[in-house]
Amino acid sequence: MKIALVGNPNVGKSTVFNALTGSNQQVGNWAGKTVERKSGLIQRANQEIELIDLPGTYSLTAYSQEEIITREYILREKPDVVMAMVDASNIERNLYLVLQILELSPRVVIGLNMLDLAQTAGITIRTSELAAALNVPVVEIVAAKGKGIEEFLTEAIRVGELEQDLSPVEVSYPKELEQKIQAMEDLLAKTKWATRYPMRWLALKRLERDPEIGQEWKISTSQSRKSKSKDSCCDPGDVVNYELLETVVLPGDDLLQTYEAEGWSKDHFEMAFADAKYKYISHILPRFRTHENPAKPTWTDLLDRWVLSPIWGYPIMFAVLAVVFWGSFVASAPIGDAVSQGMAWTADVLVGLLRWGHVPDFVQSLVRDGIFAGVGAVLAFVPQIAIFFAFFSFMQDSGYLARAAFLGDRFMQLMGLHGKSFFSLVSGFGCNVPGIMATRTLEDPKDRLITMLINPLIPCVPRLGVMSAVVAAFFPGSRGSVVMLSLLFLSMILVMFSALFLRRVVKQTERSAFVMELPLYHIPTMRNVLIPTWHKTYSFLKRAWTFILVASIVVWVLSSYPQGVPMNETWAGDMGGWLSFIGRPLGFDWRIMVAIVFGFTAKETTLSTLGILYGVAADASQSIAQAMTGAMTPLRAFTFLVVYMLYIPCLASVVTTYKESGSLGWTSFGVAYNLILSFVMGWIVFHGGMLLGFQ
Amino acid sequence: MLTSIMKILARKESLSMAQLAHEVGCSVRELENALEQMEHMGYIRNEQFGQSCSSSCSTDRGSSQCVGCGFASSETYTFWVLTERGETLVGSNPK
Repeated sequence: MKIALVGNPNVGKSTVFNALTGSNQQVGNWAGKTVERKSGLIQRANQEIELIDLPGTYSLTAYSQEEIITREYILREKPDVVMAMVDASNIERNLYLVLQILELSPRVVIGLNMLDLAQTAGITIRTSELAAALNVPVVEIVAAKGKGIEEFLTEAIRVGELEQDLSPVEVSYPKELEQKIQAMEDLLAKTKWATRYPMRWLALKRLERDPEIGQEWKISTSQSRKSKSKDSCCDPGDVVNYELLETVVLPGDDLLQTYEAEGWSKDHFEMAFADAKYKYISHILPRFRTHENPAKPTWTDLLDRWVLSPIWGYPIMFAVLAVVFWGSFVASAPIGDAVSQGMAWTADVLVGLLRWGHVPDFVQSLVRDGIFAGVGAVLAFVPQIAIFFAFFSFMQDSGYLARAAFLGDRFMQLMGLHGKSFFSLVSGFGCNVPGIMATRTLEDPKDRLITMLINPLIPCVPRLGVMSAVVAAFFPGSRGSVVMLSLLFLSMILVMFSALFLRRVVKQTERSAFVMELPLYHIPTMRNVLIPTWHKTYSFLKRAWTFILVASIVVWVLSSYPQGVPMNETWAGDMGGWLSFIGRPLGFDWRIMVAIVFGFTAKETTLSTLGILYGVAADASQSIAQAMTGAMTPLRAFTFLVVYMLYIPCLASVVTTYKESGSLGWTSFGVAYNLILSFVMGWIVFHGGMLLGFQ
Repeated sequence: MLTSIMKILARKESLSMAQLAHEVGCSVRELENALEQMEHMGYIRNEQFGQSCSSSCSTDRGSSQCVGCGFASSETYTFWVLTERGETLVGSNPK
């Protein structure tokens, strides 16, 4: 007797196979395949049984080696019985394969495994009713504990010895499909293939245009079973080799063409058959399965009803962001002040020491007006930035960030952005460079280009850091979070506007939908919040001590020479003078224009440049906030923030855009677009504010 | 069930797993099974959308953070999208 053991992967098949065959196994590969072939001999009641452990598979289509091997074995070798193992804890998934096996072989016995796991999950399976639903025997087993395995085999032997085949259940397809299946069966019934394959299965596969149907094979070699070596547990080698003789086109081509003309492609048939099987499983499932509280909503489900709601989701998102920004500004204010005073005190002490050591004046000036004014201006806002990073990590670890991204995508669909484009934009909130690089996952080059061009409009973390520093200086307390939210809102509006505009410039293909797997909510761990916060803050500090230090020295040189002249007549002043024609319509003085130019290299240098040019350390009692607020009105500061947020993020992002797009033209277009957009928006904000009566 | 999923995906609107399961009228686990089957058949595919600065950037083992610039988030998004074959299928209905 020949018995085939089949089932989904990880259903416990190997455990049953090993328990039944012991050491009497042969292990090799299936002919011409890399899939392992295991068979074993069993002696029961003077009868020799060959048990074949077929590869674990979820279905019997022709998409993988495992599937082809399993079904070809059942079709060609025609085992006397098929032992189908089913995972009781995920029975709906396993029954799909069972229904396909029942189409191939009428002699099937089901081994219902993992009942203990199912019971733990609150699932009860009524075995007799499952057997009645499928009209095949079902045996309960717990393979891991060796329970029921012998009974499973005994039942299989009994079924194998039956004189008549069983009549397992037949999936009924919709009426239109049944007519088509019948028409194909009528055509195939007159051929030799009807004697080789189960008729209904053959008709289904013909309608699906299954490539394996119609192949003529012959057994080319039959190796004698080698005795196992003393060092091996198992016998090696293939037992049977097949050789493809020819591929014959089966009858029914005209019929298939007729169906094709009606819109029934091979894919439509395949999907319709699979769908009918799933519907059938859903239909019979309640007869034999009871799931205690299956629909009991989890905390995640309950929260998601509100958080992902098209109506409430957006107000909740804005409320969360408001809390994040409020926390960043209000909670950090005392620490920021302390750091600022500490920096001023350190600068005083250090310059005092330099003076005491008769160090030349220009070195004292470099330390005080260059390094401490520049790097110190950035460092004063590190607590604020660290708290912002901590909130960001908290949102990420709690599972909310993924939901915010999901909501953002739905919002942006209106603008014709591709779903995946939005995730590149979300990356841009961290850093625009990975955001631009993330566009690689977009298949359509036009989608990629548009996403690349709008990514710089998303304020990255360093930009958010500088923005929050300026906001904290001009709009202290709760007003700061409102201003930050309004800036982010403006950024989103411009992303959408730009997407619409660029869709006209770069013709885009139709967008597609997606289904997103969202993580479960959970309370973030300290480790998952603090370590990322430290990494981000450290990166920020590292840049402050390296890149920003160099930039601060350069700016100090430019703002100190020629010596003995007012600052607006230094080289930096001259540079600002040349750019004043751009800054004047926006209410910017020359110092802001110089800071914007230095911001091209890295955004944080804007803050250090402002620190130096506003002479923060010249008077140790004055912080950058005080220095800036004394020289700018809130309206000008807000205009500066708008321009700062929208113009090119940094040199690295421009280089990345060039590398990723491979086009100097589109890179130049992107730079020009950002510059023009930022200054136009700045002009609108400044003059709009003036009209509204702001100073 | 599979046809319903394809029809919903054809609406070109993004959904979470729970939302799609609710629309189809099944549990999330049943939906996962169906999606895996459809992936196997080649109509949809599972995509992981992670973030890294470049191929030369490594990830910190402790925190899973990118150690390149430090600003890139380690958040990875997983979603299912229609393949070209799936798009063709939902774009053409039998008469």
